[in-house]
Amino acid sequence: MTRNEEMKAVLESTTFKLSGGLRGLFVLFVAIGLVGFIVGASGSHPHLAWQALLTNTVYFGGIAFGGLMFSVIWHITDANWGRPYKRFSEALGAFAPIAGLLYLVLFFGAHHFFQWMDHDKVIHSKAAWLNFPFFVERNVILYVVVLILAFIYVKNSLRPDIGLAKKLNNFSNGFADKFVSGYGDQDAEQKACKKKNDRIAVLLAMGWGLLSSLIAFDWIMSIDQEWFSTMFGVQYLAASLITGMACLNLISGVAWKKLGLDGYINTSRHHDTGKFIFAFCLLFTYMVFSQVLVIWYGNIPEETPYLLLRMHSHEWGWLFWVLAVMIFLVPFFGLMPRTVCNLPWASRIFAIDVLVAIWLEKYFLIAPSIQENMADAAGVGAHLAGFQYNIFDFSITLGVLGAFLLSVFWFLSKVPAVPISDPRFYKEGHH
Amino acid sequence: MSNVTYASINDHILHSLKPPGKSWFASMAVILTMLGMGIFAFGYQIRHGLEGSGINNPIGWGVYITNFVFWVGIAHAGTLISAVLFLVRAPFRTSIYRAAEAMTVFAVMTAGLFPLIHIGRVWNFYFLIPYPNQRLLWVNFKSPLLWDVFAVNTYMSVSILFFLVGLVPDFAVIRDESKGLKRIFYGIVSLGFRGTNHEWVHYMRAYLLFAAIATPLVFSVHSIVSWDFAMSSIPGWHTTIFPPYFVAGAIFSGCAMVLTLMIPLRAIFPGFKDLMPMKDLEAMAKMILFTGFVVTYAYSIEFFIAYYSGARYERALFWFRPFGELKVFFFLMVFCNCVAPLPLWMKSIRTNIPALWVISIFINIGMWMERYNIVVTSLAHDFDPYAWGTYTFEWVEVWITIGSFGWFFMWFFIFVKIMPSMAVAELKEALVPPMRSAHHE
Repeated sequence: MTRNEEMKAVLESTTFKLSGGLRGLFVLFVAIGLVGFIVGASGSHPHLAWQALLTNTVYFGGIAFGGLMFSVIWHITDANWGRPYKRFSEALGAFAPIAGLLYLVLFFGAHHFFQWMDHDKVIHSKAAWLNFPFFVERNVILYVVVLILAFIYVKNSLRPDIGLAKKLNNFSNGFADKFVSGYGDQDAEQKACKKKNDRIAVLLAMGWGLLSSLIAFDWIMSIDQEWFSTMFGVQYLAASLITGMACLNLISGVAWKKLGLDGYINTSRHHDTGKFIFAFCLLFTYMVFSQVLVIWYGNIPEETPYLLLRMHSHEWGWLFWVLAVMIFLVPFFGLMPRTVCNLPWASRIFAIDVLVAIWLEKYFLIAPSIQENMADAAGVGAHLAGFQYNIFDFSITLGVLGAFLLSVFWFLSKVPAVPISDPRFYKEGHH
Repeated sequence: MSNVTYASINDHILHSLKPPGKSWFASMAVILTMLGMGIFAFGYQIRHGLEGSGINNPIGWGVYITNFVFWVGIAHAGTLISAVLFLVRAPFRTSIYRAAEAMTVFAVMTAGLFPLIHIGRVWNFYFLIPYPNQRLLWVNFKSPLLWDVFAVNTYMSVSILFFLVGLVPDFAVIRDESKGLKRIFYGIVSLGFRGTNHEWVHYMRAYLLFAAIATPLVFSVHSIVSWDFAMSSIPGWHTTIFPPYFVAGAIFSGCAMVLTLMIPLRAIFPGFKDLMPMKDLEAMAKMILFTGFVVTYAYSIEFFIAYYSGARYERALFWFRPFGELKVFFFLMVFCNCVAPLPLWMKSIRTNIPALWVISIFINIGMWMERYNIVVTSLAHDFDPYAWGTYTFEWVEVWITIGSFGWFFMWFFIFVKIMPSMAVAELKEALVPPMRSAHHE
């Protein structure tokens, strides 16, 4: 079988359409989320709805870019093993524009979580950074720049695949056709697109590093305007990589057999996704540990309240240890055996564990600070509500999850689901 | 690697082990002079005490601690290249890792001297080690300085063992190719390795496990070194990003030192050019670009958070670094670490040997400046203006620093003559690639 015939077969087995039932379900999720948000934001406790939206935006936005980054990393490092997952990783990135829209929505509710929006309460020495017009400007500008880079990257990655798919199988739809206008010779296109992406990928990775830091500092850290930590940006970045890889692990387990990718995805490659979850969980734990230790040991009043609330308080302290178990102990011991990483069903348990854990981690970084701001506004003697998982958290999470899944599946149904034109995409043991 | 065969690998590498020539002895003479200067200065310091150095109150840490952090940093690249890149199956490590590991071992040996030099009464060095004693005196387990003793010793033990484990099959090659006393010596150090299937199976398993054990050490050692600073509450030291920033900086400087050493090695020994293709050096250049970017990010975030924190001491210190009396060191650091590597973005520079070598030298200087900058500026300008001070290093410190380079290069020069400076077995492995052949380019 020639390469082209082989790729034609792969293309046919991976062409994929979201079934009506699932699509309906996801749309229902989005509807529930919308209703939940509207009811919540116009109700008596609007901050709960805004808090849930913020948590989910930083969480799913993190997955979108964290997921996309693997495609970028594989491109930069010329890695072979990740190639079957390249398009899936780009599909996760399809949520990034929607996350951008959600951030735009969040601007309108910013006064519900940022104490510094109030002129009387902002810490004066920080007012130059923590002021709303500048906040909007820097976030919009950087997000748009990174989004444009991501779009160019994905476009260059898609173009030769769609072009080849068109040639092999007459692959065509309104979305895909836009990427192949003026398509020339296959080899020349492949070379040209790779060359362009060699530059774009590096810029995108750097832009994403800055954007992750900005999101972490601006949207999460500044809720508690007094606290600061230089590590915070990288912590968010590492968490995004964990969730991105966990999603790829879930997709890998399904796509392996369901999309007929056996051989392209194999035990060793699936194993790699598990190993990376393991590695990133350790990296994340290392980062959190380094922060906690330095702050605990230094014991200076600007820094410790943030940790006291999250480690020692009756309301939130317990969650710290739950997260330590879910993000460190469980994946550390769970993913260490080779068998677990090899088996889709077994590694899936740990992927889901870390996905849930990182969601809780976002909640854990955001909600206590908002509650503290609320208590501060209510005056002396006000208590923190603590962990109160509520109907808004539930419905809005479902809503954003629905939008996330819809965007990922929509993207995958419009383009070749594997990089068929990529010479590094091959069947193991079949040269 | 079309012109490379099993036999040519043996020939080229065994050729590098031939008895040294004139240039080797000439270099060694310079190196031993440097070492002699260091020993003399250290002797002077033992006789006269630390007053010969520029260390004062409040700046109790000066060039010695700078050198300590610098050499520990250099030591990082070896284990990163040999263990981490082994685990992630990066093929470009093969030709480089042996010399990088040797560099690691010698750099830790150099680094380990500096705490001893720094303590002044060097004959009391064993106070650093906790041991049961009649006086019931214990070291301070809460001090990061003590954690450092453990971290550096662990790192040194593991990197030496890992280095020697990697050498076993290569020593066997030399044994098979030599006669007489030499054969007996290499026979002993190769532990009777005969290259049977059975031995290889166990050997590869051991090597993999060793790599996995060594990997966390790459992170732990420099994290703990960074905590020597970050655990205090001194402005400019107490910051949470220090551990990953130090690790990235260490890899940055280590990779630069690998290039500084490998490029001459590649030029001196015939045949090494075939074994160490340009793309391997280019890959190192890319590692430098990446870690250089991380370091630049960390510098920027430090400044940003110093501003954002609103804490006036932080702000004052981060004003003092670029605009105070020690600004020269700051701008040297920024130039060497953030600006000098930028030409590596261009492929023509990455594949230009002299340019690569010059840039690697700049980075070595820059990373020394970084540590100097961290150590000295924060101590010079802490909370109370009454306690501010300044620091200039004295000849004793300069000579000891020169001596440390002499010490390091002495070991490295001995290494290239008695051990194969490239991994013979692994280079051969790459000729009939088990996995990497999956695509042809």
